[in-house]
Amino acid sequence: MITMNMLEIISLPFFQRAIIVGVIMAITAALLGVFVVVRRMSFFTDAVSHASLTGVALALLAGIHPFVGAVVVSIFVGLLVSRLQKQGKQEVDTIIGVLFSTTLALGVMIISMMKGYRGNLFQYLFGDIIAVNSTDVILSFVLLFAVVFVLLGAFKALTKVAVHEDMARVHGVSVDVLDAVFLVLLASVVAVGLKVVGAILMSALMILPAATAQYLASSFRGMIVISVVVAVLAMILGLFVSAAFSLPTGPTIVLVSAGLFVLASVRGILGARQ
Amino acid sequence: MCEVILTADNVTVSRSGKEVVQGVSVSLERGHVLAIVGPNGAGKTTFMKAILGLLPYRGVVTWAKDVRVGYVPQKVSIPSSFPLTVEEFFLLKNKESFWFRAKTPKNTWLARVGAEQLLHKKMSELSGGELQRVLIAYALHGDADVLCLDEPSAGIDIGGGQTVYGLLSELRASENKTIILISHDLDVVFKYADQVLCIDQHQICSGRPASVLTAETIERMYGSHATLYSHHDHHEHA
Repeated sequence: MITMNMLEIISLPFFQRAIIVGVIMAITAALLGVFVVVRRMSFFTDAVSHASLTGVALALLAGIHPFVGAVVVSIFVGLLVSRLQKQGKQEVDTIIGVLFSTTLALGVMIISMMKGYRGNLFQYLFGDIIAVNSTDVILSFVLLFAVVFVLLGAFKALTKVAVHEDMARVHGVSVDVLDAVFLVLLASVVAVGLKVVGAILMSALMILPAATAQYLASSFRGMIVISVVVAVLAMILGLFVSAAFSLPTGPTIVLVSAGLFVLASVRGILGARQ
Repeated sequence: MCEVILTADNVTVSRSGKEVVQGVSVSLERGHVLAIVGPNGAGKTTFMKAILGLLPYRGVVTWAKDVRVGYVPQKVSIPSSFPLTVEEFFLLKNKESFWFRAKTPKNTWLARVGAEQLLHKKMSELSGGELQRVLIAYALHGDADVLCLDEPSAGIDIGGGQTVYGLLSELRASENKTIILISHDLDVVFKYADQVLCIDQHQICSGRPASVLTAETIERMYGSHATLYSHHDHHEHA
């Protein structure tokens, strides 16, 4: 049942803030998500986003801003995955599987044990975009500028690395520096995105638009543009549907995005058969 | 006198505490073709990666001043989720914008390898032979002096492989490109290489194929079951 009409929804200040942060985060996550998908880092992104919950929990314990904790722990886990992967003693999917479940469990455990924060657990797990404040608006703007700045400067290098790391190195690309910068951006997007869709669904915000675009694009340029359009569309639709039907916002945004993915995949499969 | 373009002296590479390439030395002149041969796991790719600076090593590797190197790895797999076109792939190496440009510039190297018609195709949709041609053109794009190829015919059918080697031979003859290639096919080595480097973790032989690829060196590399036999066209096989 529709509980509010569109005009009522749009006139609410917290909803306007949610729209601003949501759209900015959708664009930012989609831009990074394209590289996550073409570099086959989707599962890695899962590990980084799940780890952010432990970061939030530790930050709350230490009395610092949850954003700082989420970024630091996400980067730490990202570096740990890379280090263990280079040692080559375990397959990367096993390493990620162990780390993402452990850090998620640890985060849930710490928050559950903290007096006064237990009720916020659902918000950290699945997001609460309606609760965004002016700091989140500023953070998301800063992040978008940072991502656009890095992508403008290192777009060709990032794409070369996505094609083949060793070829990129021979052509003078500092792959390790680029990976480090990418990880910092990824962790920051995850940290800000926690309020939008939460730790569990965060990677979906990055991966689904790019995965949808791959069915529709006939070039890499096209994939990036379509990915951003799909992400913004899913965000706006998701926010309105969520508000109109009083549904949890994060899961609604992800399900709308998943719906667009299914439509694109059907089109892609039908197109391939013709 | 010909210019020496590469000197590798006593190169040793360790991985996980184990020496996988031990004391390999070679010197290569500009415009020559060097083939690196050896059994599986002999360290051929490791040695190539070391001279390209992709792996840490002990010893000395010296390239001629201002030399430009192009590299074609053994396996480049572009997933279907990555819709990069051949045109976009080449734009990565150009100075012009990836996003905004007046018109598509003529791609000389793509035309030289006979792959100009692939310009608007997705990289992930190319056949093995087509991809290898595009990668060779990409490696040469920007006027590379040296082309390093790790098993350029791997994953391609026999006809495609012959085409690739024919193309390399042509490039060497017409452009004076220096070529370093890893190959399992001794027929290719005899047919196209000026110089061969035999490795089985340590160096087994180095020099002109006809002089150093003897039955004895083949046996040392591949074991007693491997022998040389001659074709009617005088090419040798192991």
